[in-house]
Amino acid sequence: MRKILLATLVLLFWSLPSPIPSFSQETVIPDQVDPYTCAKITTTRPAQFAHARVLGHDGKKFISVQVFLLGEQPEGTRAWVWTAPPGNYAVSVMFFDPASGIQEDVGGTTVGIPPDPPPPPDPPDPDPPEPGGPWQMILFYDAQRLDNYPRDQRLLLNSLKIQDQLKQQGHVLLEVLEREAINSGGQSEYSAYFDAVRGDPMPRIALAPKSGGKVVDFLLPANYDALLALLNSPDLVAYYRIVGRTK
Amino acid sequence: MPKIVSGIGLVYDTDNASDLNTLRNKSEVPGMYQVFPRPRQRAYGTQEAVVDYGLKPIEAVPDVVLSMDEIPDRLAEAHEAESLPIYHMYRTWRPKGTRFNQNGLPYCWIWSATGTMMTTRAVERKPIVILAPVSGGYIVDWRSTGWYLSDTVKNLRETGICADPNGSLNSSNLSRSFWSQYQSWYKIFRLGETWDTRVDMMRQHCASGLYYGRAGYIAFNWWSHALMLAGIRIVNGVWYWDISNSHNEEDVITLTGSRAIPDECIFFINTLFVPFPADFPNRLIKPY
Repeated sequence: MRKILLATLVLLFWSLPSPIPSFSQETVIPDQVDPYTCAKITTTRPAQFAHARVLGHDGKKFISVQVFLLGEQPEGTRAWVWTAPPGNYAVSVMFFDPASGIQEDVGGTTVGIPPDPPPPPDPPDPDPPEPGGPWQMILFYDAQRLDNYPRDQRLLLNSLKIQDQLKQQGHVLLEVLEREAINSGGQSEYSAYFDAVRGDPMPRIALAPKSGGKVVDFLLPANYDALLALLNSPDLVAYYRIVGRTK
Repeated sequence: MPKIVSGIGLVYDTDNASDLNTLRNKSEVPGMYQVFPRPRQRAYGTQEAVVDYGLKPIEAVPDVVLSMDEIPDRLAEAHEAESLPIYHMYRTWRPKGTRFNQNGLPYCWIWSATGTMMTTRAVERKPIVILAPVSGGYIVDWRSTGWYLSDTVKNLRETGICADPNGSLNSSNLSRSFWSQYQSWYKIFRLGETWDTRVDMMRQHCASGLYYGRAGYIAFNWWSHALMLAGIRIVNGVWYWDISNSHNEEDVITLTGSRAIPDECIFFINTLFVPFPADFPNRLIKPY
């Protein structure tokens, strides 16, 4: 009689629509197991009856995986094991108590190592800045030889009027630096300028487009007119189009 | 009393005894001018001056010394180009209205030297950092005393001067223990090359150093006082000397006459390039 009642209840579990699942911390369903090993389901949830089922899909149809109830568990614990080929499986444990009715704990188990997600595509390179003025610049000089520079060239380094005029034309005079700055290890924000002039004869002008880009360098022009001619020269723009885009 | 000269401003005529006394009495400590009546310590061009104190004779620098005939035109050019140190001083640490005050301490020798250091940094377009003149008290072992220009130069080259931790230009905190906290900052602000001048060619040498673009660390025997030469204007053949003083003025003082010519002048040519350490407060650094 009892066997008939039990069989009736099993059939009822299989045939009844699944109840709304609830999460119970008493039931442990592994997220992932190595391939060709047993996956173990355990529960300490009190219920008169409990049943575990595992469903997979082979790409065409659902597959019901045979689940084996383990005996000799600690008091109040139920455990099942199952094994299946690599893949993703839905796991549910159903519980029945006359007082609380039917409850279900659900989870999913992946058998085998999930594939690595594909790497995201590389972001497209930003559009390189358009070469041309206005320019940002650093002037470099040799402090030990400053007295040898022609007067008009020295004015480029210390005339406030010239420096203000450059600013009015939209250029940015970042710094006027002595050569010792190049290898000092300081002002790392100017490292691109230091790299450009390192080893080159002084005095020097290092410049880049105000919007950013590779730094190019030349001998410091002899006077203000020559400096303006350089900054406004189409040849400078053409030169920069070639060298400014190389790595 | 000083007079307003059209196109120049308030001018002290050093050939006028009254103006001379007015200048002498500017010091808040009467009679201080008697402490060091002979500011010149090392003779021009001697081996000791050159080797031990770094005082390179300006005549040893090719093409820097101007002829007397060309000086008026050259200085006019420099004013037009705004390349004289006075323009850099106004643009940075001492804009008009800024008071520079040694606060009654007999420390004109370090107030003026520090002003010359800051002006040199300005000409070099180094970041603006307010240096504390009183931090140079180590040179005289923190005593309240006058001192020599050449020895001050030697210490500024070897040890340096300190930035004021509060950005204050006129701190009078003569405390060894206070400034010992900032010992690591001194070496950031050190003097490099200096050019010395001859007392018998002072006008020519002063004009030449200014035209080159550097400020002069100067002293007057009659005043026993040290200051900074910031510029010279020549109008109708009359020389007007624009000098940064440290008696709480809001602007330079302008001297004319025979005693406006300094008895000693040392040009600060450059300061050492020292990157700021990572722990130096950014709030004390202002871009030029």
